[in-house]
Amino acid sequence: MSLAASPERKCPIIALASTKGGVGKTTLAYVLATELARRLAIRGRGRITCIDADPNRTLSQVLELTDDPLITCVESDSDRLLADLRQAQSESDLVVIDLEGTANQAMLYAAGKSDLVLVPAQPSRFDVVEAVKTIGVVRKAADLVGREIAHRVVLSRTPVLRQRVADHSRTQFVRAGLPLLPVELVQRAAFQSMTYTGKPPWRQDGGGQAAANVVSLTDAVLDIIGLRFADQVASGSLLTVA
Amino acid sequence: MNDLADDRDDAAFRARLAPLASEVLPPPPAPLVQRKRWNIMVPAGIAVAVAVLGFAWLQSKWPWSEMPRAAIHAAPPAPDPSAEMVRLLMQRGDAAFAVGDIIAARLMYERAAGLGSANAATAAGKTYDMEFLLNAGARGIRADPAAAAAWYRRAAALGDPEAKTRLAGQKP
Repeated sequence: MSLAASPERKCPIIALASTKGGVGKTTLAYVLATELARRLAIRGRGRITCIDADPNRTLSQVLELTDDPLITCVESDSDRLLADLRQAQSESDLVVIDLEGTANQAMLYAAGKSDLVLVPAQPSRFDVVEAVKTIGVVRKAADLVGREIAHRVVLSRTPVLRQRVADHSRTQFVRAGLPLLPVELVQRAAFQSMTYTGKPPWRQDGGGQAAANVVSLTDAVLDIIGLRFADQVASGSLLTVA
Repeated sequence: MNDLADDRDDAAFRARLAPLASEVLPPPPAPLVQRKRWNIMVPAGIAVAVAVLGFAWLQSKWPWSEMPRAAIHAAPPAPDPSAEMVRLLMQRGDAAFAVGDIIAARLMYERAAGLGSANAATAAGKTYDMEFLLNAGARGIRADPAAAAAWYRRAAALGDPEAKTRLAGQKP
């Protein structure tokens, strides 16, 4: 299945949004993009476009380090976002938008255009509050543009070991009526070291826990937008690629 | 490909999301030019009015230069927070002096003098003054005429009359 074969077939857009900073938007955008690029590389063709609408340009910086030939990074802002999106959609298999950690115009536009909005949140009360706010914005945007916009809260930096506060936060997200992605981005050193080395977890240690985490997370995300890259590669076996 | 159609699409899309923007986003700042004009014109007007009225008032008070200084600077003197400290230091210094502990008394006086007290400066000067120490019956204390003169000068500068007479007495 080719996703961007004809101009009419628009490729899916995933936006990373949160009105709070430091929750893991860029981390999640980066691991998703690099993991999808890895799967596309197995397929042999394709292209991921990352749109960095965060004025801090953190995603651009780390992608520049990574220098993956299948990933194109576009620096954008609220004025250029719609044009950049159109351009990206016409020539990619998937678009990932990383946003600034605040409620702004770019966030509204990105939400209005996206197929899936992921709202990373750490297990803390402030993050629950901001996630509720962000999801509220996404839902209103869906009303205004007159279509469903899938959205999920992705718990990020959750402790590897069971902690009561993390459990409590999960309960709070569910109580607030926020849909949770079944896979969380666990706190791992690989997710921090990649910001220095530009090496995604599967390049650092293909069989490691962080890489496995990213694989199942990406599977969960692709499930929601009804996509599967590299179907022939099952989640377990592709960890051997490096 | 069709840029115009794209622009129209974008405009329509923006317009649809506009109600949400007004709800979620902080209000945009007012146009700069208008704000600037008000920001400058109002304080400028007030400043001019104050200047004109103030000048008129001064004219009505003429000749204000002949008025006593206190009337011009009518503000009451600010209460001095160090006055209480000076009083305490002097008290302890006098107590030390009374029991013959000249060194301790000198420390207190000097510190009080450092806070601007003319009395304390004179008292500090006395603890160095040979004549005073002999009269007070102090023993075992080395007098220092230069230090005494320095403290007296300082006290005199602060307006203490006793220091002036003592300074005069020292010179010969």
